[in-house]
Amino acid sequence: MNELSTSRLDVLVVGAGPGGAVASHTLASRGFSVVCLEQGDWVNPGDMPGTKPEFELLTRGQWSVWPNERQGRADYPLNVDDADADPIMFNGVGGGSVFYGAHWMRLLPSDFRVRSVDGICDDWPIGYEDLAPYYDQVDRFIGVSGLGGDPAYPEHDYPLPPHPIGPGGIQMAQGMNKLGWHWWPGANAIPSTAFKNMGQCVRWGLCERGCPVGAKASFDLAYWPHATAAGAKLVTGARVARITVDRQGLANGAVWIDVEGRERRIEANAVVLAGNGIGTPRILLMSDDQHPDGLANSSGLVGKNLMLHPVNSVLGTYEEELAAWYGPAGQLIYSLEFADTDASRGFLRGAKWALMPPLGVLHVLDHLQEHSFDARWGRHVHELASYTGRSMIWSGVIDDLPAESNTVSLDRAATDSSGLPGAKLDYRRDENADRMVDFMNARMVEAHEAAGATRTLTAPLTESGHLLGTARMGDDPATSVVDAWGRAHDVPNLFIVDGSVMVTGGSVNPTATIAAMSLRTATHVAETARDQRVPA
Amino acid sequence: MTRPSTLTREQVARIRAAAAVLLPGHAESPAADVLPDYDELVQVAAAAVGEGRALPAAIEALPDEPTWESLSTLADADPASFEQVSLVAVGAYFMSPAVLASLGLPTGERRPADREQVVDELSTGILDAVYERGCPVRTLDDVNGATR
Repeated sequence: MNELSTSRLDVLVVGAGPGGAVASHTLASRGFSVVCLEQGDWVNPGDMPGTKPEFELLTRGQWSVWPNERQGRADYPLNVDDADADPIMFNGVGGGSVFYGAHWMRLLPSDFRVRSVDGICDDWPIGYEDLAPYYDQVDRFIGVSGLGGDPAYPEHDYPLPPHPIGPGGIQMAQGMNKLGWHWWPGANAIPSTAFKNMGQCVRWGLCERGCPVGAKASFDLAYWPHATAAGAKLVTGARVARITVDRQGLANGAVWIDVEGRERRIEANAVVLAGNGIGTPRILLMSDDQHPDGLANSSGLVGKNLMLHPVNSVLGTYEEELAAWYGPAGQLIYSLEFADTDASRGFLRGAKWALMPPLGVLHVLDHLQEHSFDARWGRHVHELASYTGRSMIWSGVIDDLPAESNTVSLDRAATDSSGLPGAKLDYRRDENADRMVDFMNARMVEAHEAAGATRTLTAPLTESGHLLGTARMGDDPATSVVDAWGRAHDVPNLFIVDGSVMVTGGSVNPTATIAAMSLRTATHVAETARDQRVPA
Repeated sequence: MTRPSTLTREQVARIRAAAAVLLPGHAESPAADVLPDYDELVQVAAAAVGEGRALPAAIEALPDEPTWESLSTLADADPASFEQVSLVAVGAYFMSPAVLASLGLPTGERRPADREQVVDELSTGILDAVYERGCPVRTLDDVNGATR
């Protein structure tokens, strides 16, 4: 839409990723007037690189998952000079889910209670039971494919049957059984049968590079069409410069910049932020008209405790034909064997493993990247490439403990296309994570060997797009930014519905949790609207 | 397919010469420089990674008559240029339908799963061991017990 009503809205949502999509749909469905401002644009699945022969090269340039490499109009600069990680991010309708692998995992019960069970970090103000009904609702809404009954979780089921685990999944499952290690058929937000507006997965196997046929529950497809049908208005190319606040300290809208560079104003009775763990603190810190240290920041914790989930991975090659070109990718199987604390391992918390097919020949060859020239080129390229269809990759989501020294701040030296400050990350992986990476790499080699791998190659650590912790929830306004409902302690009509509210990162992919928490917060906003203080 | 780049014939020839060393062929896989469509694939690969200013400069950094030793020296001395050129050289090679076929890799097919496949896979009893082992992490009751 191009024109906005000049009358005051019920709710302004900022950011059209998973959190913003769920909140917009939930509130619009209940009759609230909702506008969502999104700095990026829609992505047509048909434009995704996956159907093109050069797709692997396109994903290293204009379709890169890294904003600094992609340098799209909607991307803002990310200064990672002082960071151990260069996180994945996508600015557009659907947000990071456009490029996610759709591994659809719930946090474990212990993830909410790390202080109580492990004596470190803080407990969340909510627990697994509080979120379980919302996990269920979102699963049903987007059509998650999976098999219920995993003994690692409290009982729950999925609306769609699981995908085949394929020859590679079977081979690895047999290896895991030999070792006595947990595994389970993958839970994926990828429809195993046609669901609503999404077709059945056709197993291109490139989910993490964007599904070229729209058969993945990225939130531009799985939620936004329903949100707009319910009456939510989505404005793309709309970059929020700051949230505005009235004299009573209530949020009353935002100043935003359109694609022509014009500064515009929108008014609302409540504001919901969904910019995720880097975008949300960036906007709060830019909202410094009346708050020099940023909006909702009396605790000083806006932008602190950044968690990024390092990802380790080990590729195994096999003599058996594994048909590794079959998706989804997606996870064929997952393992929670090492997802929880066992102090004898030398670190606290753990990692969820996902078994995935490679995303292409170049992806396989990336595993030679740190080899010497003589061990990388010539026959070595040909030999490893010949295993592309006979290889599988274990990758681990390394739980990343919160540390106040890991931060997002404004980088005024580098601006986006609207002249707004970029974001600077100060992030160091801690010793606990480093020990965990070493442990997981070694166990993944064992798993491949038990499954019959002829060779294993450990990849350099990579980054995830899991942007967490920078506006954490809690009961105490001195030690948290939002309360248990996602409401800012300092601004009672400002809510946050993205990964920034997570107190600890957990050892699983976070999108299911972000979506469930957004649904819980938005439902609460709707149910308590009568009592909500609004600007005069 | 991405619109081909505008690399000159000489620039493409320099990449092909480097590819002949890096990708000399093996078993069923042909050498890069004998692929009949390799030059066209290089143009597409160059456009896909984005030509910019860096790629022509990286091509210029290649030795005139590349050998294993001279490319190894370049990889050490100017890794950025080497990585850029080698990405185009390798990317173009693995776009070739003949090369992908030699690896047994299909191209561009929709492959929806038969609904019975997963049933067949999981009805073999392969999950029995997982059920027998039980929960590998602390359960909700464990956690609530620790919290109380």
